[in-house]
Amino acid sequence: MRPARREGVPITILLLSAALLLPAGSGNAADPGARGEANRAPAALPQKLALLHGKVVTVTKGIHIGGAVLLSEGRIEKVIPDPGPDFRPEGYEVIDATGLWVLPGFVDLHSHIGGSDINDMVYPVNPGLRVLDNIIPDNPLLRKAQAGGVTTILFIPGSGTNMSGFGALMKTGGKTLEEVLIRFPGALKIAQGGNPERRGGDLGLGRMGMNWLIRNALLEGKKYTEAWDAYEAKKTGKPPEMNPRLEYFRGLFHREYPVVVHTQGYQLVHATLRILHDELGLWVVIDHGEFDGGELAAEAAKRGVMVMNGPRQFRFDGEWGAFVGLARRWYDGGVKDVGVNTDAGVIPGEELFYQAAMAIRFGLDEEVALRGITINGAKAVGIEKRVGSIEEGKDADIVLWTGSPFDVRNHVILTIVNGRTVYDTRREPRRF
Amino acid sequence: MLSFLRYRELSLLLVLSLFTSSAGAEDRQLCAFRAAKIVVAPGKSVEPGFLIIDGSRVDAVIAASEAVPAGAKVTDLGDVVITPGFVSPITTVSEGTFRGGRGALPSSPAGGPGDSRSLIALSRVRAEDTVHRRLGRTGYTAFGWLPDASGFIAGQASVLRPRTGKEKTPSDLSVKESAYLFASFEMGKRWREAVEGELRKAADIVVKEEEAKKKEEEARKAAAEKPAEKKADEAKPGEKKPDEKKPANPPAAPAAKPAPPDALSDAFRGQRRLILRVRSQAAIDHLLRILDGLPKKPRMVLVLPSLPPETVQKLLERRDIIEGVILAPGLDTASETSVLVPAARLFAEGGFDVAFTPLADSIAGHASIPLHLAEMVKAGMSPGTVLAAVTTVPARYLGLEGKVGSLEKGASASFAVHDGDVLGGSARLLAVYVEGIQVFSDDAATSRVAGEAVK
Repeated sequence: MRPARREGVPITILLLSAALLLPAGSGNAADPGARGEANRAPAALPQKLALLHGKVVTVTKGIHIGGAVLLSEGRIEKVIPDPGPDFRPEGYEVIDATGLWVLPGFVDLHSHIGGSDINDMVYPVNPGLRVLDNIIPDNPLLRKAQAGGVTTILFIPGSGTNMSGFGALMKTGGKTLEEVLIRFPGALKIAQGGNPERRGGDLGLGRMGMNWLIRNALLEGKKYTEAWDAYEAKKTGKPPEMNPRLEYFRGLFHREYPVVVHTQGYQLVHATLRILHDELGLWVVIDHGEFDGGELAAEAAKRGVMVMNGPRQFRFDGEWGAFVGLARRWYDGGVKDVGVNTDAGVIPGEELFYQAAMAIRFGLDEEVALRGITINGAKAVGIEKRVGSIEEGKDADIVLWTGSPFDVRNHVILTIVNGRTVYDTRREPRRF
Repeated sequence: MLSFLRYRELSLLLVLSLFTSSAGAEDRQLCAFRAAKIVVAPGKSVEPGFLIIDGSRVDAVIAASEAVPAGAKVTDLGDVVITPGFVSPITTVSEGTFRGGRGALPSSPAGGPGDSRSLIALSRVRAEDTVHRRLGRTGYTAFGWLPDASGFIAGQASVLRPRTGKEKTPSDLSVKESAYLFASFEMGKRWREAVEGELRKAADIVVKEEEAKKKEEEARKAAAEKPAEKKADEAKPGEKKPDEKKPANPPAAPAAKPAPPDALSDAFRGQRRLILRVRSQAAIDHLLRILDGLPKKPRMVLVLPSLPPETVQKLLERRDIIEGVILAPGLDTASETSVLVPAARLFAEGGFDVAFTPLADSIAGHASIPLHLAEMVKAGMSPGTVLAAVTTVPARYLGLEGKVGSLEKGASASFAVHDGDVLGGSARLLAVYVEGIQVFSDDAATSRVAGEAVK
């Protein structure tokens, strides 16, 4: 048997990475800032907007026909269920939403459109890689996603390797990295089967090999985390050597951010639950979860593991001779906060609402589907206090639609991200 | 959303399935289904109404306020929409690895690789195939089916319907054995030469036939107009013999031998529809040049890719050879800054009949069609035109106008039941009936087919 490839990092890269990770003025490599950016408040913006007379679908606090939503400094300042027809707040630019639906921006937790090149496949596991270095704000695919009402994505590396790196939570609107970034790391990306199969002769062609590679890397990361924890708790005198390849595991094992897992089918979903959740104690989000993965819905629900189903929204069950709605299957099995994704650009990011419409067509309740592309995704990755619904204090990510997004003949009129208009069909050609 | 009605609807559907699944063609039983809306054909609907079926055929669609025929079993489906089952002009989803269309068939007069004009698709249907059962779950109830459309003359498509469980032989799936001849035009040199050669041959055969027929007709006319003439060797005594150098009346032209049966020549005779797939703009230009050089042109339906407006305009000017078009529904979004008007809409606005194939020729592609139909409405096509593209227009291309794709009197009782507007994209498919037999019903409780799966 050929020996496994040695996973070492040249010294020059170590030094360079250490320099990049150290925040200015900080001499301590264990500073939280060194492991990544914490939740960032949106940049303050001068636009004050009042969206009036529309059908305000808050997702979490009911529907207000003729309601008003006031935006200020990049936040939702106020939601007024029944302001009356003559309501005109002073100092606000008024947008008349009569006849339109006012929804929160959608959240897509499986997206590859935030920047460039999403796979580096020399090594089968790559915990040191990060999309932070790849983000391209305001790129054409993000601009298209805005036209589909998507305002937040989890931009993750691809599934070319079992552990492809750390993704970032970001907005689809914004011109600079600072404007778009919500949180880095957003999540670790793991792919447990299918795409990452190594066909060049090294370990990882089969499921045993792939899961070993994942476990091995995570156990190494766990050991690294425990060593730093012991040092920080003053149980040891000398700090461990900083390893940029393992550094982000510390936040992972502290459950500051989750692992999102490209996993589907009974076998792989079972391995996800058993290894990542039960054995390693991680905060796990199942992405895809297709084919017969939904047979483990009760197990996932028991563990509080959330599921973002897609892009396949149905499969043909040969035994029963029927189409099975996959999101519906998860929901029926107990995952009541099921979500839906696109795997953009496998499915274009702007078609997230199509995905939800398909989930509805194959049996998911409409209200669940709406939550599935808004608050459920936000909750799955811990940013529900910022996005995913129209509530006072949350980010001003609002989208105006011609009607229900689940009648896909409707389209977006206006997309606002962080309180700034990024797409307006009253002034520019439609992008979708 | 209709979730509060779902259980009631579905329990009614379950009851219904007990009635109709046992109703074969031999048990003529009038069944009247009440629905909130019944789409009889694009642009023609009744709301609310009764769909009355008599065995395997539609008997009538009447307003709910009218009396149903005496003796009809009435079922109120609730707040649902009934539409004709969708019709696919070309479906090649097949079991296993069909390779029809490759290699010469012994009975093919043309022979040669890629020319299977004598192949009738029905001959490739096997009793154990499950694909036609699966397709019944998608809302489609008729398909112009080919096992393999990759040869340059791929064969004659058969119109199949989904399996109902009542079939005894594969032929029982057939609605029409030979619907049209399918061919493809590609830009590879050998391909171009092969297609051009066969088109020219077929055109020449038909032109010669017509000329021979014309001569025959002229000779017959001439013989009927003039009195019988004396034969040259029967001159009476005393009469000068006619100049022996004078030629005798030319012999009548021999009766034209009928050409051997040839599906491609039939297309030039106007006896069979030719559906020709063209994959690129360059191929379209080349094809038009070839056709313009033929002594006779077939009328054909073109299967086209996404095209820019100027190419659409070029084709709109060729009504002399183009009967209609088949496209996949999809928004052309090549530009990041604007939604281009899709070719389908331009063709429809230009007066061409447009039929849609599923975006992907797979079970999933067929199941996803409502989403893409909704997209086309979003892109500006009228709902009636979009619905026609999956019902009456493909029915016509298959030679089954009035028989499938609509719920007019006498049409096949093949229809789909939805919980909302099918053109919205998210309406659930609740049930599918083929010739009066339920082949699919959605079970709300378990997302699986209630009762026994249809074999």
